[in-house]
Amino acid sequence: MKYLFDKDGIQALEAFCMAKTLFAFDYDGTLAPIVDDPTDAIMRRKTYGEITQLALLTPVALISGRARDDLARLAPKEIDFMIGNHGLEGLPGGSPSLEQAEISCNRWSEILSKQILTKGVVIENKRYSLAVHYRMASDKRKARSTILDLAASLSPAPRIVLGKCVVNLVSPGAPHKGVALLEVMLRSECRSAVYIGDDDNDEDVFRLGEESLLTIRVGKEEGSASLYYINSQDEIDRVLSLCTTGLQKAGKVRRDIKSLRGIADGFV
Amino acid sequence: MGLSEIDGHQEKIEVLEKLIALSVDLHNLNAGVQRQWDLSIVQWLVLRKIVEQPGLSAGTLAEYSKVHPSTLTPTIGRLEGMGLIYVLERPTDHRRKLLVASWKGLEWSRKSESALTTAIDGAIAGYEGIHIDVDGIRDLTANMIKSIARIKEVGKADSPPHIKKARRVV
Repeated sequence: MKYLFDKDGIQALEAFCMAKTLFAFDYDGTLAPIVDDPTDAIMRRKTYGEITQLALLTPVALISGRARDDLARLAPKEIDFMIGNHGLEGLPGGSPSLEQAEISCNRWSEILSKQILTKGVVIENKRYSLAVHYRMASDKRKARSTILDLAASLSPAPRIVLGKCVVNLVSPGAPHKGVALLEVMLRSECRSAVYIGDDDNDEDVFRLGEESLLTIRVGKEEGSASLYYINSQDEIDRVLSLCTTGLQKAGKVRRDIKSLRGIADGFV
Repeated sequence: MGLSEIDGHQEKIEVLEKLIALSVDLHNLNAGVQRQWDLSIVQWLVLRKIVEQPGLSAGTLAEYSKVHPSTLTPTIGRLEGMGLIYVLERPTDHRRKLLVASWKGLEWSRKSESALTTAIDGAIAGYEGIHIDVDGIRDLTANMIKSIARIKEVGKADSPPHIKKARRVV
């Protein structure tokens, strides 16, 4: 991993602004700071303005663990693609697996709410995936271990996606964030993409290893497959600003907003 | 051998002659472009590909641009030397490079593109009385490239035994 704001990183990011590039972001910990209560996670005013400006210049996608409705509530309407539930919700042709995911989620939620009695552990049913938060638990390590043990006994066995003080349970066989990103690239006719995320589940994107993908991790992490990193979430505004400046310098103007809106509206 | 067969043979030779003449003309055009822009057409095509698809490695670029790796290596060196592209180290794999365009490269690519497309428009407009279109020429050229590649393969198979032996040694 290299620091994005070193000479090489800036040159690479600027070059991606010259091409037809999709800019995709995780939400929590990337666009919005991590907070104790996920419902309080909102973008800074500056970030909100920058991402809105970016979406007026180039196709933009949010790919998050949050439910899609939740994302739509938090993000500017100018953003073309909002993919929720770790890549499951918001992709075209996803209806059959969505139905199955909803059934599994309700079953898991019912079982776990009876079995998890640890104080400070909160189960969030996001309809198509389950997030078990343990940020408020007094013994986080023990809470995490208990959640993982219980998750292993569930049927059908969920795919475990670890986050910051959260264990996500996703329907087996459901598309992950990497699959979602490639699908959105295809739909938006972008041959290249910039993706920024902060979490372990963003490694699904980083590990794609696509040459036409510039990956940036929020926070340096040894062993990450991301190409570049920024030190903290505070630096996201600088990244966004660099992107909008680069796109403007390259003379990028959205001529495809209406057609893209049509594609995005067709996503389920 | 009948008269019609002799005529057909002559036509094939004429096709070959025209192809060679075209090759010479392209070579001359390339030299002219290089004098004016300091870039050959191949170098411009490679630059354009790097602008359009940032982050490619040299291997993938060779595949996409249809330029032979032995030609591509000096081309990349030339473009880098002129400050039109950057050859960055891929942070996750030091053996692979990450090719990206510079702002100067973007500007040059756009200027050359404009001049070359105007030249092609002019060339096509010069054919009077022949129904011709860009898509048709592109398809015909693509098929000819494939056909010529096949001829090269046939040439290999038919080459004299001592040449085959020499190739094996190499």
